[in-house]
Amino acid sequence: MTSFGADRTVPVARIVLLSVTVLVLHVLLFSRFSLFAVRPEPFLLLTIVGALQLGPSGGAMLGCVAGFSADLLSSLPLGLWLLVCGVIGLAVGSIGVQLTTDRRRAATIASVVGCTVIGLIMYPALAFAVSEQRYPPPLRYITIIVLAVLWNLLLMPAFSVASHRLLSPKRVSR
Amino acid sequence: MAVTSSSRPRFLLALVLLMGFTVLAASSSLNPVRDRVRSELDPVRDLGRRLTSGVGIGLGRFGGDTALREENARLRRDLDSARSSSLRFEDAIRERDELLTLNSYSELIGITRVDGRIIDGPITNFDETVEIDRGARQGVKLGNPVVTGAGLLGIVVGVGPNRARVMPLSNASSAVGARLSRSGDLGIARGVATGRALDLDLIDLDTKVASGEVVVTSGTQGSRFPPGIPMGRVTQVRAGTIHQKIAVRPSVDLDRAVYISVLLWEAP
Repeated sequence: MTSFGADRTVPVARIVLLSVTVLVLHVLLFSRFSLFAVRPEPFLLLTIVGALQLGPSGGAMLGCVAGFSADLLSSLPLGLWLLVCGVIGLAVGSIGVQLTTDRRRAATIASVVGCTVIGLIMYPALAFAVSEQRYPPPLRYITIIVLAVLWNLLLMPAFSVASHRLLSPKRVSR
Repeated sequence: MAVTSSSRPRFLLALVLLMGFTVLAASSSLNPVRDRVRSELDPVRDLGRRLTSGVGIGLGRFGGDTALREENARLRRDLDSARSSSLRFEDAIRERDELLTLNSYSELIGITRVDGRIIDGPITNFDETVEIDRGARQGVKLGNPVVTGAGLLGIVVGVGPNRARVMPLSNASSAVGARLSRSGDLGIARGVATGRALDLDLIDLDTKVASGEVVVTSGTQGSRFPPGIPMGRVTQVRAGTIHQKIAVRPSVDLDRAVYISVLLWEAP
């Protein structure tokens, strides 16, 4: 039984490459996946599945890079997504260290659901605190959270495979 | 390239917070970088739009782009113009009654316009801006008002070389000086959420406000908009403790708007 997501060398170049790829994919494709005007949150998803692979340091770094990429597409002040994804990457990475590989699938699903919800609560709260942005109406807000979680669950297998191939320790050490 | 690290959660958390708040503090000076990245991604966005055009299911109003859609857009524009004429007429009645020699909306005739189209919608869940196909090369600047045939759409909040992002009037962070067309009372119309009615504040309790009354931009000193542009109609009036609580339905239907004009106007 091996540790899953133990803290290790941080593959900075791969993290940047993955984040840029997701940025391009979001502009090209994911932003078009709109159900009741709700889109996936691929930067949060990348942070979550990547942090499970990388551990706390790598998770925090991946969160910061992916969050900054998300900020580039937003109309709200830069740094909000960086903060949200950075904290989530660190938290998920810290949890990942304590998990074992035989619980990997359940842990990934639980992390994606829980952290997408937490991220979507943190982001507008921060935006409300530092800018003139107001919360969406309650029903709209709940719709965003529920559908974004579903989108992320749908995209999770592809992101897990990509993150495993690019960020797993064996590949990184090659 | 790799960095060796150890797990020190508190130190890492402090680092993340420091990095985040530093970027937040420098946000306004980093905005040109964001605009640059977005404009570099424009071809990718165009490609995405082309790839998904015609795939209507689940892609929303910005999915398909057929001849029928174009025809519908033209018809809607004509209808919007007719509605706008009606709104302007109501406002002009009040102006005439006050013996003003100049209809405020006619001031717009003297403002240079750049005509264009809405080409895309928001790209993220908490973003409510729309993208238009006119940018800095056509003279568009940050803060320029954007109108459709039906009235005020919003304000330019981001400019690329050939694109600009427009924050709609109904956006939750929007606040526009407004004037009731019959009484002439001034207030502030605040957005609640895109597609929702605006909240009109600061209207005195003794002011008679009728459902259906037209609300236009006030254009008072320091306003970001010229006076007299139709914003919408009153749909609900309730008495508050100090002021009335008035809901205003925006005259521009964002789901249907296609053709726009950017007013190359800056607040005096």
